[in-house]
Amino acid sequence: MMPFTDWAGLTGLALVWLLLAARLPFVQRLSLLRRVVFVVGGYVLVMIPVFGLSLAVWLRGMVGDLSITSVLLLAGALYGRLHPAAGPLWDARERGALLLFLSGMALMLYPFALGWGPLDPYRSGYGSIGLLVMLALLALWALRRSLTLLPLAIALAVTGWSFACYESTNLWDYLLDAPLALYALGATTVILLKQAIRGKRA
Amino acid sequence: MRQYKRLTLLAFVLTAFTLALFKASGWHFTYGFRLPPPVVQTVAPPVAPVIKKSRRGARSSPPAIVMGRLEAHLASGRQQTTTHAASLVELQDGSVRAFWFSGSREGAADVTINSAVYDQAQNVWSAEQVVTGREETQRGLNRYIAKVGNPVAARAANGEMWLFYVTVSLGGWAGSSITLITSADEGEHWSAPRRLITSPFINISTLVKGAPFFYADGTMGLPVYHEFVTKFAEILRLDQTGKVIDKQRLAAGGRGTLQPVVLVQNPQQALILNRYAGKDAEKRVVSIATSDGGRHWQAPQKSTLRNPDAALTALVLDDGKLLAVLNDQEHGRESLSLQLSADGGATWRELHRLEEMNGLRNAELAETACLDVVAHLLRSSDPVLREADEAQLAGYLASARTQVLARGGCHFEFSYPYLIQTRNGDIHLAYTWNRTFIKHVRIDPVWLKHRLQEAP
Repeated sequence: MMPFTDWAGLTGLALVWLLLAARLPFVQRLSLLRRVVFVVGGYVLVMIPVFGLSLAVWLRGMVGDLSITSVLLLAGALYGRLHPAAGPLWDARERGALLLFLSGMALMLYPFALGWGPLDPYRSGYGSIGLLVMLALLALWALRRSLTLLPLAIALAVTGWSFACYESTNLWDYLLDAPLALYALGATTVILLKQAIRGKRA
Repeated sequence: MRQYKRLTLLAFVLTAFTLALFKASGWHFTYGFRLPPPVVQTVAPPVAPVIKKSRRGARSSPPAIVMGRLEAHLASGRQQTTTHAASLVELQDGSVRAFWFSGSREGAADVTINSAVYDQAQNVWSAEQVVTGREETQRGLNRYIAKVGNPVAARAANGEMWLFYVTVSLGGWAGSSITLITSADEGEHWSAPRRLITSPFINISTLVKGAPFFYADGTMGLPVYHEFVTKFAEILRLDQTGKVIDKQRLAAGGRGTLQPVVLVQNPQQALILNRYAGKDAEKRVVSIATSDGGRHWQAPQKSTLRNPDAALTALVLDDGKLLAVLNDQEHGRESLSLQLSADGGATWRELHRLEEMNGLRNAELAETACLDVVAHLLRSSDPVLREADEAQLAGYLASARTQVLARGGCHFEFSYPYLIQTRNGDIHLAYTWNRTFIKHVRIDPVWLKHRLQEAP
């Protein structure tokens, strides 16, 4: 029987395939009920091994388990694809705040974790009270600023770590992953550039 | 409604952090090392003592004086394969189990982790058996695996045997991650594999080579190293279930520290010897020391040991002396040397030259002459081959020929040594013999004592 941590990791990766499939034009023309059937069927398909390897298992070898934050964003994006009439779950301000947070975390984590200098911030993910307090303060500050996506992402990641939903014992792996970090850095750069250009024109 | 949503989210945030802080408050470990159990020397087993060897390992005339034993065997038996990266662990009954990887070539999909057992009393190695491979690991880990390598065995605190090995899904060895399997029956059967998550960057580039050690609180220290973008040595700390609970960087990237070997000298002091993979022309083993039980590690220092960017091994004897085996040369891996330090690693001297083929590097030997040398080396590497006729030797020779002549000359390689001391005081060394076989050298305490007395 597959361990829960494997199932959790593979489900997150299955969302990537489902989101890609949901972008196909014919899916957009399906009724809501058929879209849901499409997603459930697609989930089963990407989890079923073909010649000993499922699409989710293959992707897991390439990128590892996605963070809880990635899963939250993928699930939100998939919901938007399936139910476009409902409108976006989070507005630009919410998304911008989360992307800024993720970009900051990525810049703080990856260069040092890959060997720049003697200190490794990844170490703080192993049960550091300091990291938890910092994240708690950040989540509370975001709530006070009427943000919901950022505190929700942080709280979900911390909960996932508390219940050991993934193989990793390190909190950083629940908050952030490399593909998400690249996406956040790219998107934040675009947002900042747009703001700078708009400011110049004004 | 909006206020209600915010209050719900606030409650969730507070609950999440309460749970997390509760978990983190129980995340506890201490510094200080646990010393390995002392050697209990038994009466020497009834096997003929040996043997004064020539520098190339050839048998000389029967010894007039009993000097103890330094004897060699081939631990692996598969032919026409690439074989590399051995490690050893003592079994409960005093025999020794070796692990290595073997396949059509290093990194090939058919590479498997293999094992055999050395029976000390009978003085023979068992037949080689496959422990695991790429497909089995892929099925167990539920992730695509392209290749496996570098097995390192350890005896866990609960008595189980643990085997760490690396797997790669994408790219070269720098993309490695560590997998753990465990055995409750001395390596006959193994658990499903478990992935150690050790790096935030798609969990790549944590490799294992050195022997694990224990902290005083029963947690295990696993010396590992990182190779992606930059190279540096680290220690993973595992709890008694094999979960990673801490990771400690030993040197900043760019210092070229690889494949750390941890030598626990007493509960507070330890020395780490690292393969040097940096850019300095003068390549020397890099040492890193601690005097507070591993809480802090001092800055890396160049030792006096030569190191041509090759793995080394070492252990601490009961009297505090250090033994190391490495390629004591500036370039290449054509020789292997047993070295001793009586001053905690400050200075080293050679006790014995285990292999010496440096002289042939530029000799431009003809193929037949080269194969004569290989045949001679094979005969000196195993008692069975010593007595074997030409036909029996032919398969071994053909296997070795593939590797030795691979680069268009007569090239020898003795690499990836791994040392342990068993409870009876014997020293066991395993290393890669020309990427063809795993060679095992057993050194008994009598031989060692004589060499310690003889050496200047």
